[in-house]
Amino acid sequence: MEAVVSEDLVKIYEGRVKALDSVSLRVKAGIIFSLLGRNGAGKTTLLRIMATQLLPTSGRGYVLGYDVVSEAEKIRENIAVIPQESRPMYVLTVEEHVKYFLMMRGLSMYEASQNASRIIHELGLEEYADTLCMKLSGGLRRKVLVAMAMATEAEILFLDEPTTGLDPFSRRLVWDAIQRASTNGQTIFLTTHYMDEAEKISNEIAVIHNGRLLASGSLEGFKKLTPYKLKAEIPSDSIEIDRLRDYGKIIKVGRRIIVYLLDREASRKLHDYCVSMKIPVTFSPISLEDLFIKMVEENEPG
Amino acid sequence: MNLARELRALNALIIMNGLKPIVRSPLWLIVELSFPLTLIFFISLYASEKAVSEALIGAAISLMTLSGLALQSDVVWLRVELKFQDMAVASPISPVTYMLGLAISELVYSSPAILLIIILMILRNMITLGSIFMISLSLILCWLFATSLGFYLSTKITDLRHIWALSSLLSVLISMLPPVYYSIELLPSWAQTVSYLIPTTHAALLAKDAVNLATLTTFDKVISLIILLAWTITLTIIAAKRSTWREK
Repeated sequence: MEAVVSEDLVKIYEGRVKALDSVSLRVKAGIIFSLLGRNGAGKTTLLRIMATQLLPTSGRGYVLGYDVVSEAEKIRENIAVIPQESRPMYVLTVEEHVKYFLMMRGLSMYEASQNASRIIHELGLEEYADTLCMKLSGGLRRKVLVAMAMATEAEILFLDEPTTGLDPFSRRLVWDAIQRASTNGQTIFLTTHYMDEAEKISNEIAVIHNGRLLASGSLEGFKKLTPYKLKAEIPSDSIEIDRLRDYGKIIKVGRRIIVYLLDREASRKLHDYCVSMKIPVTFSPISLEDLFIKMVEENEPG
Repeated sequence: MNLARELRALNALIIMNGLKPIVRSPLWLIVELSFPLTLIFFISLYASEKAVSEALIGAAISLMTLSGLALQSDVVWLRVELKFQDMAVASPISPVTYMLGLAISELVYSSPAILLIIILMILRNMITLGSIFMISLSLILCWLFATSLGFYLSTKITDLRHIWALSSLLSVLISMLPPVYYSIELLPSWAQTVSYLIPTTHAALLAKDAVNLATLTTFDKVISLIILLAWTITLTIIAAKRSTWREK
C-alpha cells in the first residue's frame, strides 16, 4: 500500500516563483523515505503540501488515500509533523511537552500520560523527563520533537530536515529515534540535504532539484542509475581539467575535480597517469553524495 | 466536531501557554502588576479618593486590554519562531480551538494581577451586586476587543520585533492615553471627541458608571456597548478572513 502519493503537483508562490514543477511520487507505507535536495530545491514545499499545511497550485496529492486538498481533516487524524527549524517550548519539561501535545491532539490526560511515559522510556529520555527544554542541548530538543511526533502513534510522520544544525552525536540520537518509529510500523517521510543521513536510515530516496523530481527509488536502484563504480578526487589547481577527460566523466566541485570512473581498469590508468605527473589523487567507491552531485550538476540550467 | 476532544485541546493549550509559564516564571506576575500599580500609586499621591477609584477601574480595563493584545506576540512567536502552529495545523485540532486556547492562556497569565485589582476594588466598596454585572461585562468586552485586535495584527505582521514595538505602542494608545485611568471630563472637548472613537474609553465609562464614578444615560450606555461590540465583531471578522490556518 502507498502512504503518500503525488501526481503532477505544482506549486507557484505569489504567481511567480515555481517551487514545484509537476512532481509525481509514490511512497510505500511503513518505510523511511528521504527526499533529498539542495536548499530551496522544493523539499519543504512538497512536504508541507502532503502534510496539509500548504495548498498546491495544481495537481493532486493523497495521503493514506485521502486527498490533501478536500480531505485534509481525515489526513490530520493520521499524521504528525516536525517542521524545519522547529523548537520546543522552553518552559515545559520533556514529559509535559509530549503529554500536552498529545492532549492538544485530543487524547485524554490518562492516555496522554501513558503514551508520553512509554515514548520517553523508548527513546531513552527518562533522565530528562522532568528537565525543562531550555536546559537541553540542541540534539535533545530535537529528540523531544521527534518524541512528540512518535507519541502520537500517527501512521505517517513528516520530518522536515530533522537533524539540520546538530552535531554528529545529536544526529545519531535523532536517527535512532526515527528508526525506532519505523520499526513500530510508522511511515517516515523526511527531507534532508545530508546524504549520509539518507544513506544510513532510508529505505527509499528521491532527489528533487529546482522543483523537479529527478529520480526516486531504493539506494541500490539509485546506484544502478549510473554506470560509474569509482571516483577519483584531484585538487583543481594541480592539473588542467581537459587532460582528464579521457579517463571518465568530470565534474568540478569547488576546488576539487571529481572523475567518475567506469571500472578498475579506468582507475588504474588514471592512477598511473597521476603518479607519472606527480598529481595527488584519491580513489573511493561511488557514494550517494556523488550520485546526488552528478544528478544535480547535470540538471543545472545552462 | 468532537466537543470533548476540543475541550481537552483547549485545556492543554491553557496549561502549556498559560499556567506552566506562570509557575516557571513568576517574575512575569510582578511585571504584569507593576504597570497599573505604579500609575495607581502616583495618582494616589497627587489626586483625590475618587481619582484613585477611577484609576482602579482603569487598571482592571488596562490589564484586560494588555492581556488581549499579548495574543499577537504569542501567536507570532509560536508560528514563526517555534513553528508550533505548523505542528498544530497538521493535527486534528481546529483553528478556533487553537486561537481560543491561546487567548484564554493570556487571560490566565493576567488573572492574578486582575484578581488583586478586584480585591482592592472590593476593599474600597466599589463592587456591589448592582455594579458587578456591568463591570464584568465591560471588562469582558474589553478583553474580546483587544483579543480580536491582537489576533488581527498577528495575521498581518510576522516579524516579532515589529510585534513587540506595536504592542508597546498600542498599550499606550489604547489603555494609557484615553480616559481609562482618569475622568473624561479632564480632557478638552476636542480630545473627548477623539477618545470616544477608542473602545476602551467606552469600557471605562460603562464600568465607572456602574460604581457611580460617571453618569451615563441609558442611551449613552447603549451607544458605548454598541461601539465596543462593533469594534470587536469587525476586527474578528477581518482577522478570521485574513488568517491562514493552511497557507495558500
